[in-house]
Amino acid sequence: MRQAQTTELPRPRRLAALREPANAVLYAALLLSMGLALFMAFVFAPAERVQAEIYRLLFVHVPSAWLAFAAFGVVAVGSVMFLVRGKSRWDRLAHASAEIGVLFTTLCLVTGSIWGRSVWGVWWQWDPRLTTTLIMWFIYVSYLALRSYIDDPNARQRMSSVVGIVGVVSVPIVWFSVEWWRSLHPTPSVTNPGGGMPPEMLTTLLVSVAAFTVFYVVLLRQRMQLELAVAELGSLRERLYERNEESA
Amino acid sequence: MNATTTTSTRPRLPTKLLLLAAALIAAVGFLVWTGTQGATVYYHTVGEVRGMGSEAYYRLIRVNGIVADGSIQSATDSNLISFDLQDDSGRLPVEYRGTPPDLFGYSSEDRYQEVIVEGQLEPSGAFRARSLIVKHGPEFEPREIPAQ
Amino acid sequence: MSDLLYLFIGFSAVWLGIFGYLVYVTGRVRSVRDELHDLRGQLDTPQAGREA
Repeated sequence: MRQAQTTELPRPRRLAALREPANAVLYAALLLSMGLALFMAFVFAPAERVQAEIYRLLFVHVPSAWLAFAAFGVVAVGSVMFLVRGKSRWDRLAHASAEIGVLFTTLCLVTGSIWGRSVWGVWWQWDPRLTTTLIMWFIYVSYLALRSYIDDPNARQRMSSVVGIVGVVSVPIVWFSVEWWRSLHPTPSVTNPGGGMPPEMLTTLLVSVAAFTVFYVVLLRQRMQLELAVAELGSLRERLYERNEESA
Repeated sequence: MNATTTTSTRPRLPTKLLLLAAALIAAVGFLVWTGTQGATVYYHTVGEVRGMGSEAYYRLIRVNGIVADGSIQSATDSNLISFDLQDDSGRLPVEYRGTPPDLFGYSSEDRYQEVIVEGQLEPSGAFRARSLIVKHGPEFEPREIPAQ
Repeated sequence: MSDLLYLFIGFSAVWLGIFGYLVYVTGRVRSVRDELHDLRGQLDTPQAGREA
């Protein structure tokens, strides 16, 4: 056990060094896509017939929602893989993705609320889409809370994997809520043949989704490195403690 | 591989965990059930409200519909607005006291004509709305630039 | 006009949220790595010939 740890020690540093060019590429992509998305959202996309300018929230609201869904999908994949393979790195992926998913869900709720205030005339309504989204948010906040309450790493990984798998059921429920139930929130504009938007708006939305995806990848990598560093810190502290015990 | 990964053995599922999963599934299931049973609907149609008869009186309900063309009337000396709410199943006169959302109005004037009103039906047959919410569909259109 | 203010608040919330989170996580990674570095230093200094 202790031998294995000794050989593992330099690993994160070495990998971090290898990743430098990849980081540079990612951060360049991030700035470029964000700049392009902002330009398109405010200059390229035309004003809307009824809503005029406020509809531009679409270009942050919808990508936030989609990336939240994707992030929770990744949580489920990481959780399944952890239960199948038993490797901590899958659990780290799930944990990191859950936190980012909660961030995106929060941003989606905030932008939605502002948009609702402006167009619907209300900040919040207990309509199916808003309610199910809030429930989804609570499920993943509980997931994160659960993780911080369980000290034993094995129990924590297994428990949270189960929540991570069951919780993803909320994603299709949120998605289809506007089709299944009567709601205030409109049905999807992009995937629904009844809805629609002119090509300039659609292109802008897709570029925004791409920018958010780059952001998701950057955040995920950074968050996973934190997971790895924290895990290593734990084992290092344990070794120091053991050694001090021995020498005492 | 990594030292931290080898510490976890292949997991077994304890009962506590299965209970947690069951609770989560139950919560999600309840959500689906209440929605599909129609026990809780976010809004009613005009026809449903009419169908309730006297049962609808003085109950706080939401009704969805399209504002009938040309029916909006606003009092000049107060903030009272009245209009007819219409859908396939009927027509309902609505009174609302307050300032409506900016985008409330007729489609022909680049506003949204669909609303959800929240309030009470009175025996007189009028619906007294305490809130007026603008509803819109998934369509987005470019604003036409007026010819110069 | 308040629409433009809402639009500004919405976009600010999103970009500040995302960048704030990135800065927070990056800061945490840095501080944990610093601590790792210190601890490794402590482990590398042999304690009265114990490691032989």
